Amino acid sequence: MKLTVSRESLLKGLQVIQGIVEAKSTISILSHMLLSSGENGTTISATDLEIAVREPLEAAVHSTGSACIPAKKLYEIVREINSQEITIEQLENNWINITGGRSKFRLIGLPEKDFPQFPDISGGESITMAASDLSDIINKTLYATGDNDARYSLNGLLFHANPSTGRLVVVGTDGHRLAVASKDLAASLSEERKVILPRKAASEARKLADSTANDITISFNNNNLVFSVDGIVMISRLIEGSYPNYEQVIPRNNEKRMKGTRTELLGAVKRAALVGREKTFTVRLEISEGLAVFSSNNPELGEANEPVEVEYSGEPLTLGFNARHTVDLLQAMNGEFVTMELQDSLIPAIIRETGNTDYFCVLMPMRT
Amino acid sequence: MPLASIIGQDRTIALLRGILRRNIAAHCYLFSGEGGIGKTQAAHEFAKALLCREIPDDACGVCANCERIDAGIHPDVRTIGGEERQIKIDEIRAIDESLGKKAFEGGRKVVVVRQADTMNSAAANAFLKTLEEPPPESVIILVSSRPELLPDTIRSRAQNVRFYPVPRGEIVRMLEPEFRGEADIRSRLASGRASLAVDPELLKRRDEFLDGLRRAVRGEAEADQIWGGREEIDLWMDQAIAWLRDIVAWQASGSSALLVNADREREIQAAASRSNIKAVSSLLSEIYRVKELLRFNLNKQITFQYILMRLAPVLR
Ligand SMILES: [Zn+2]
Repeated sequence: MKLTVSRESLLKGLQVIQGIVEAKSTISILSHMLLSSGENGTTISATDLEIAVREPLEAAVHSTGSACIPAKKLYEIVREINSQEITIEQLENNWINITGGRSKFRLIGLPEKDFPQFPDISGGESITMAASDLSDIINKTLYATGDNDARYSLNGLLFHANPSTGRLVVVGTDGHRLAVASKDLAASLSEERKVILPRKAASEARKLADSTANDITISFNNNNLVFSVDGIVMISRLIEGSYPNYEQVIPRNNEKRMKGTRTELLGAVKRAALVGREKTFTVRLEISEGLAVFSSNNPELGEANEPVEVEYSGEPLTLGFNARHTVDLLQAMNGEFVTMELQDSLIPAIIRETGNTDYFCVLMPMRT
Repeated sequence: MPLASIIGQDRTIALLRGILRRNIAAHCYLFSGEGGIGKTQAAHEFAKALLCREIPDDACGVCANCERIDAGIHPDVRTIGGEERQIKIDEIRAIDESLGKKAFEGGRKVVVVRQADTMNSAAANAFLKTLEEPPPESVIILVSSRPELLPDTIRSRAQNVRFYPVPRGEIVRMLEPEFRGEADIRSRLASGRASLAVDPELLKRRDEFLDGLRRAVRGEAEADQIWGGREEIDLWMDQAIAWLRDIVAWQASGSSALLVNADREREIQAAASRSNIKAVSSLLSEIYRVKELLRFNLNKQITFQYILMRLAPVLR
């Protein structure tokens, strides 16, 4: 195999896979990428056995073939090399020559046949959405997922495509908080699909979405979820098991409404949390007519008090929230105003972007 | 080397192939039996056979799945354990997390745990949780020559697949065509381990052991020249035990019929006449005990010196 590529497009292609390639993997082949030139053009592939990515690369092909190249090293070389064009050539015994300008590198590759096979992605049904919508929907839910939770299904995002409602609902929860974002399904599916996308894959899918202005296709296969855009295909394994019935934790009868400016509330919670006790990290929220006061106290440090003007006309109410969780969700939200739907100090709060029915979060109250 | 080529375990292999043929694999198996009789290899081949694309009840060895499992790069097959240390909880967590996802390629997910009895207690607890709720489409194969060291709670959740030492007569029959003149001595030295019986290095290794032992007693060789890894130590211990048992057997019966090292009859006779049966027997049980203790990180150098000191009177 021998090909010449522009430094710029190679660098862009290598950036896409950097998050997936494992530099410290115990299986050395996984720190490599596969560069292939054949009938279907030139592609770069990488995988960590959980996520696999294949993307096209525009190249002048002198001879076809495949080479397994250390991905991080190639990225570092291409980033530093001082030339608009780079030539990559595979030699005997998996040696790889990389030349550009006056630079000449010779890297040790691995046999191409040892590279994991690209999973079969034929046969699944697909939906399409704007890349910015996918990015938004992941952004608004990913923070709420579990991290290393023993209940594996919580360590990912539920993608629930329901043809009968015509909606795609994406859910993240760690049991203390819940985030639910939805969008119209832009395609008709023959059946309901419920899959759990691992955290890392969701984060990579968001990166992919952020790198393009085009529509992204999401295909539901039996064992994996496939995101494709601009010729790039990203496949993720799915988490086994069923997702908890999250609808149970959504309170149905919260009657009290508090509306405030999002950035003001966010600032107040952040400041109030500064003196909070690290472990419990609870902030207290006292609401009375027209005023919300976030406060915390720490016997070893002192107190903080942060009043914010809000729209509220119900009876006075006091609740406690995990400060980190409150900050996370206010940060993930867009829009100028947020509305909190409350009942009493034991009932979870629902928080919405005011006027947006496609997104809400549920926060479990904490003891104050 | 597919399942069909594993020597001397015909009934066990037939059982495994039946499971494959009828596609009724359980979530967890425990391959148990003495060391060196083919359990680890059988576990590896069984893992391949579960995913082989060509043969329903064995591993073809050449399809993409078989090849990648051999190379250790199949995304849905993981092997842990079998190294010279305990299996730690992180490894079990990684396995658990991987099994918690659907197979990358749509088939089964297989995990092989070599020397499963080397799990530390935290790892065993974590592993028990996995077994209590086995992820769908997953097969876990535990391999152990010391299954009694595994917690009951784990053993009771695994289907036991026993491997047996092969009777000597059977090994002789198997050896006869290829190793004509050596069939008898090889069958003795292999003591039930068919894979060992056909090992080309078998006799050479035994000779090296005896030679090394002599040099060590004379202070011409150190522990680390003779004792490499855990497997080497185990092998060395087995050979030392066989040697001492031969001496006891000679002292008790005065005949060569029961000897493992039957081709070294004269040396055994000489050693037997130098010491009494009681001393050698107690030395033998001491070596058994040290072999046991070696599982718990005894200092190699000190242990080796100690054994030599005890062996010296018998060997000199
Ligand atoms: Zn095969």
